[in-house]
Amino acid sequence: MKKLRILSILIILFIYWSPGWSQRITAGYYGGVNISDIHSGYGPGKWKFKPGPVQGLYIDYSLNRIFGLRTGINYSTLYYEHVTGYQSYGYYPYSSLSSYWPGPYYSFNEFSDFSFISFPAQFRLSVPSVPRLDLMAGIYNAFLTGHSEIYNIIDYKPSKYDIGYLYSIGFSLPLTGRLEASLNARYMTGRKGIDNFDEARHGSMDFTFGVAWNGIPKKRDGKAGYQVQDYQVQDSVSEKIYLIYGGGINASWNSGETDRERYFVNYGPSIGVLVNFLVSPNTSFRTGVSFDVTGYSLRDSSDSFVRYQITDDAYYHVNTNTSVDYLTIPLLLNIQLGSKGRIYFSTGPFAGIKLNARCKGTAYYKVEGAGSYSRYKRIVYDDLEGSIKDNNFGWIMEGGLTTPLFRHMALECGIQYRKGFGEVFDDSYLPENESFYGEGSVFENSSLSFRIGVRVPVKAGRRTH
Amino acid sequence: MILVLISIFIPFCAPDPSIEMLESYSFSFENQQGQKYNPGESINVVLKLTNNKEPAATSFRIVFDVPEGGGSVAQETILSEDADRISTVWTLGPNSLDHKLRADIFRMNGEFVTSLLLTAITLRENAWDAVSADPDGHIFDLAADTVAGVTLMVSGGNVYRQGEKYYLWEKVTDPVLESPRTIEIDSRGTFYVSTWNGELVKSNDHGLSWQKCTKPYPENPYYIFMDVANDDYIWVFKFEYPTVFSADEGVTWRTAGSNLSSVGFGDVFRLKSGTLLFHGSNCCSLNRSDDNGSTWTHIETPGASTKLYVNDKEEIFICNQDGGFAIFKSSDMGATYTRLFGCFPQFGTSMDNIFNKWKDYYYILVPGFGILKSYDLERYEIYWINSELNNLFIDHNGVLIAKDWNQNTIYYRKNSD
Repeated sequence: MKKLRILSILIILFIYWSPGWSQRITAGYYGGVNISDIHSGYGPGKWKFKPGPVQGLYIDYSLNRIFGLRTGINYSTLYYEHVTGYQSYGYYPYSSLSSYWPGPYYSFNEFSDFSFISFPAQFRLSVPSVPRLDLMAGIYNAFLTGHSEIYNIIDYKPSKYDIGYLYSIGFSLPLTGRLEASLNARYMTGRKGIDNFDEARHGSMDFTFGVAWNGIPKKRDGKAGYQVQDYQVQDSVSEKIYLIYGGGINASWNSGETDRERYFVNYGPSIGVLVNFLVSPNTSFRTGVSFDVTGYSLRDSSDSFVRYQITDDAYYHVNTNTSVDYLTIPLLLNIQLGSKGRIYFSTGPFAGIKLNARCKGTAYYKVEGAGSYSRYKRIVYDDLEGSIKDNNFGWIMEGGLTTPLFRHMALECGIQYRKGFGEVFDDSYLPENESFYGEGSVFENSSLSFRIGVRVPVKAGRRTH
Repeated sequence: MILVLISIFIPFCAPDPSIEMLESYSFSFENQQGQKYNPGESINVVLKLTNNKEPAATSFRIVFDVPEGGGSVAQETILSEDADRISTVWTLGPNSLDHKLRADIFRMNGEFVTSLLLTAITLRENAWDAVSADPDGHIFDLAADTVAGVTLMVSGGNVYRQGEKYYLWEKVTDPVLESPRTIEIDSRGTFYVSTWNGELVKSNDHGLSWQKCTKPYPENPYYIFMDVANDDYIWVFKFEYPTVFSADEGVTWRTAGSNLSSVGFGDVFRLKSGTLLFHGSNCCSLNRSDDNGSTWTHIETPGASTKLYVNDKEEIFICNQDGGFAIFKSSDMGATYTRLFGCFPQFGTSMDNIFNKWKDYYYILVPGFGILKSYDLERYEIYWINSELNNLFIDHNGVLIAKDWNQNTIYYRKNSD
């Protein structure tokens, strides 16, 4: 905490003692809650999403109206809870997950927490709309300041240092001439193992409310610095760029080549934001970011909770949903059709960055011996993150209708088809890995989404200073 | 933003992993597995049904059948209704050693649940029947009193008395019977038991009560080898110890002269002339003593001899393992030998109970080969070839009990004549 105070003072001094330096610097404070999201790799059981505190100070340097750099200091505590169990040995169908040992099961919970001071460095892309949209990505260095755990493992040593990636999305609104409020969401994923025993990595999502002051630097004549918040003064709506805040229901399925008829549809949300750049009156380029849940469901007899797999008689009857969460970045060509451009069609590739993966549901099984018979119901929740490839690439096609909304806005309503290319499971997960290429893919992503989006205009901005 | 939060977290909302037992049943026969019966005997079979989850019983349909043994069951299908036990009568087949009764359990809707087996064996006349169950499967030694009609067996560190049937055994308990190892009987009907602790225990009342003898080697805490000679002397051997003998049922002990010793088993016979003949497990150790064991004179034997037997005519029979197994006879106190029989066993080993006599016939065990039968020890017929045999006993009724090399199987043969 002493280090934190010293760093905070240094940042504040840096901000205040920059007379007439630049009006492009903004300083702020944020605080909120983080939700732990450990990246556990392989292993059975459920990692609960536990809340913890997060707060920090930042300074932001604007390169121009759109781009900027942001850094600061961040303090957070991540709380982890792992719900898993011990199963005694029994019949064992192949799987790296908890379906491996379907013997008697004894559940228990493991708790741990990690406190960090971290220093993020992000590149910012801002869309000058109302509210202003900030998209940021970067890295962070984190230093462990506190830790506790209940494992009681001899020689257990948590990693003292972590480095990772940081993705943010935020909205900012002006409060007064110099103050603005912001609402931010961040996703952090560490790259180092959390301790000297396993390869699990730290991760979290945090949601913060912040206050920023952009009037700190003053002109040398003592007047306040000019206003860089373009939306505050005589802005006009951009003809070239607009935003689309959209979301919908995602019906996804497994279009793999192996036993694809055994799998059923899995439903999940799809939500995100697109930036539309007008190329010609009827043609535009779209990109952005969205959160999508894909996957499939399995309601069949199987030796595995996750996939259809049978050796002799199946051991389980499963009813599970296997889901993979992606951060999707599309690159779309959009064409407006019809006399008033009411019909639109978009197509293009996308890149998916895996965030989480899980298999959850129920499994029924029976244990028979000579003169004994028992039947069990198993609540399944297995972390699949280590079994899924980090990225997924594919193609998107979307069509729909556009309806004007208020003065400068519009409503988009459409159907989107998305097809991922190639195997989603990591090779290490597939038991048939050695002959994999001869047997076809096991899991490929496909989805059909019903989406609704709202077009929001972007301010063109005319500086008045 | 709220919508984003909801969208992100809804997929993670799920119950914690857990397990719930929906139903559990156990079914077991109250009859012991592998029990021995007479051919054709009827057994009252009781099947117990247990609901491991609920106190209330569940109805099942139980279908019995006899997959092995050729027997029958009185009632093939029984509905348990709310009973926690059902019973039926199983009649064993007349011609098989092994018998199995199978119970298939079905739900009332016909769904198969599980099945279980009840096994039994019936011991036949004039046939070798293998038994691997305790206690007789692990027999270590046996002695029979044909006069009193008593047979005692040592198995698994306990003494057992043969029961109503020759394959039924009852444990004999007595405070001094601690870790029994071998058992012998003298001509007066006194049983002697040597223990793993080097003690010697005797019973003069057919095994009802037991008394400790004087310890042959007082300082020795480990097992000894014991032989009761035809003159009722007790001889005790132990590697690196001098051979000792007792003429008074183990009260006092004398040390044999001439450093007489054996590494394991030893055989001692008294001739009518008073001469003693001895042969130990160690090769070629035939000796005679004409002064009641004080001094011993070595007698040459053919090849690597390891076993001595003296018949009622005081003819000497020697077994050796040169080129397999051979029996030699000498009628002139070892001056000359005549080879009577030879064969090639699967393995060679030390020889314990080799010559066994019942009524007019000898039954000679050849370890790793089988059993020979002879009337006069001059001519031998192969009685049973079984290369896994290692020892042979005969109970007081003449039932042959052969022991397998695997140490957990014996073979009974009750001859009808």
